[in-house]
Amino acid sequence: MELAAVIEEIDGYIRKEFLEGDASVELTPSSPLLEWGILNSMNTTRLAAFVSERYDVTVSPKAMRTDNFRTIENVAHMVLELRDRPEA
Amino acid sequence: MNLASLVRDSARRAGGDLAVAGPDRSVTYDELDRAADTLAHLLRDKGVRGTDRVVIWLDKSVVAVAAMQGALRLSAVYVPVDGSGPSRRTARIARGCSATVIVTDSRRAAELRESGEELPGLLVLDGLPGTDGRPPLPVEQPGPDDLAYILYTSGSTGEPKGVCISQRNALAFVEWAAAEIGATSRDRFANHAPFGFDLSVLDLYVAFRAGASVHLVPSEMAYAPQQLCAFLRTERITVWYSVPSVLILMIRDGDLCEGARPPWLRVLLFAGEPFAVDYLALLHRYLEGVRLLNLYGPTETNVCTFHEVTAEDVAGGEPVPIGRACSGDEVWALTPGGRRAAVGEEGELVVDGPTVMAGYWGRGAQEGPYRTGDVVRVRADGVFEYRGRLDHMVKVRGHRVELGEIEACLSRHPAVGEVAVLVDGSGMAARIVAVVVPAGPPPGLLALKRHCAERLPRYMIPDSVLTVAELPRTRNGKTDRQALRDTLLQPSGSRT
Repeated sequence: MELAAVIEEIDGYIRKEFLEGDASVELTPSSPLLEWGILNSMNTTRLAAFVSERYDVTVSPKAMRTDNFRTIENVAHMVLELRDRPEA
Repeated sequence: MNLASLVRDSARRAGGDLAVAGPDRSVTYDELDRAADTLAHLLRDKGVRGTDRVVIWLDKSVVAVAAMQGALRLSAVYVPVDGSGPSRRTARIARGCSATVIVTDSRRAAELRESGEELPGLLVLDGLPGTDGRPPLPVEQPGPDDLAYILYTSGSTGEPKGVCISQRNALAFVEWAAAEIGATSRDRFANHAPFGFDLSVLDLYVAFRAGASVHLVPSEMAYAPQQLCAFLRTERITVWYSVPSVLILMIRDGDLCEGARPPWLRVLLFAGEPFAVDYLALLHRYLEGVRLLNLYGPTETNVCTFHEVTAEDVAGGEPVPIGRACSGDEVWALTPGGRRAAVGEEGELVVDGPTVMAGYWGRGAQEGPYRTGDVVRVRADGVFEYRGRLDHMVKVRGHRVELGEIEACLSRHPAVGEVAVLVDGSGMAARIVAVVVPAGPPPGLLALKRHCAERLPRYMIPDSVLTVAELPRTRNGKTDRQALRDTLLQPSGSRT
């Protein structure tokens, strides 16, 4: 699966679960999810559970760091990295 | 004895023992002792003297712990601020308590400078600084009534309130907890709570007093059940303390009550909200031999009552009581008529004793007993049962939230005319719902989230927005929250 496809799915998940399904919201792959209040620690955990289920990756304690959840792009990069190098 | 000497004394006894294991690095007591001395120097270079306030705005880390210790060594007062919170709130808190300096990292320092807010001096640290060869500063001995730290909690008027805790306040609790747990240098404490939340006081200072180690849970992992269960096992935790919501999550979505029992765990403490008894029963059965302690107390009194969970407690299906007075405090229930509640009666819980705060910053000293706003019932055996709140303070996953503070923030958004905030659901499923009467075109959820995210901690940002034409009123003109709940929210319990 390519980066663009992962980004699109994560974008869809975030809109549906955290923004009441609002498709018109101006959200881009580089929008700051934490600074905009979209991800709190609870939502971060839900997003981590979603990606680990959807892409069959293990989000280790080490991977649960702020940088990996700053933007949709960052989350997608983390997913691809975890899939290629599960110990990352 | 004071909060700084606990580390110094443990370093003298067993300097090579592990003191803090953080996401950034681990340090022994010797290393923490030296780091605290270095931080004391750096803070002093920034002009910090005894009784000055030092705001600490960092990720949970060894650096943050060293900064707290550095401030204490100067007899200064540290003010830990939520690392994930917005820069404007940090700046506002620093201004509110006239802080001399904010200790932060370079990314957050840039955010602070961009915020346009008035700032004190900044001490920027991107890691533990090395020693610069200067000899340790002479030890300042704070008096028991000198402040040790200030914890900011949600305020109903829209401004966070600074709860001022003296050395005496903190030590009364730490001494009690250390004795009750029977803490030793072999213990390994988990630290789940953020440093700005009073649960962390037990983790840090009971560990330091015993010469034990404390293992910091990074904030991003705070609600990640599988990762938390893995942490409990790999870090060989012996003492765990968190809000019940987190433990329920670890039972439900992690494997806390399945598979291999965490073999080192011996005491599990919880506080901050009632524990759903079904899950507590599961925990009690699965973790046989592990002591389960329910601790109670608002930030203003630290822990003033506790109860050890028994088999009878969880068999009854009733929430476990908050127990009896501890930490040297005296605790009673005051009826609406102003007398002490008798057995079977309800009243507001009142606390007097060594853990009662010195006062709110800038609002004068606390005079006499502290009224908690919590309603309790007195059981025949003298134990207190928690019944509810007298006001609009709620708990969201154990975080104390004044709905009025969220309302005050939202009402400053230009698209918001009137607003009422409700909490839908409880425990992990709790959601903050903003009910808005728009001033023009209805504001979107993201716009309101962004507005709040610049001003409030992350746990206070609304999860959803409902737009209404007007808010229902009670006869005396206040927002009728009950009517709003009845018309807008699904019956409680229907959400999962």
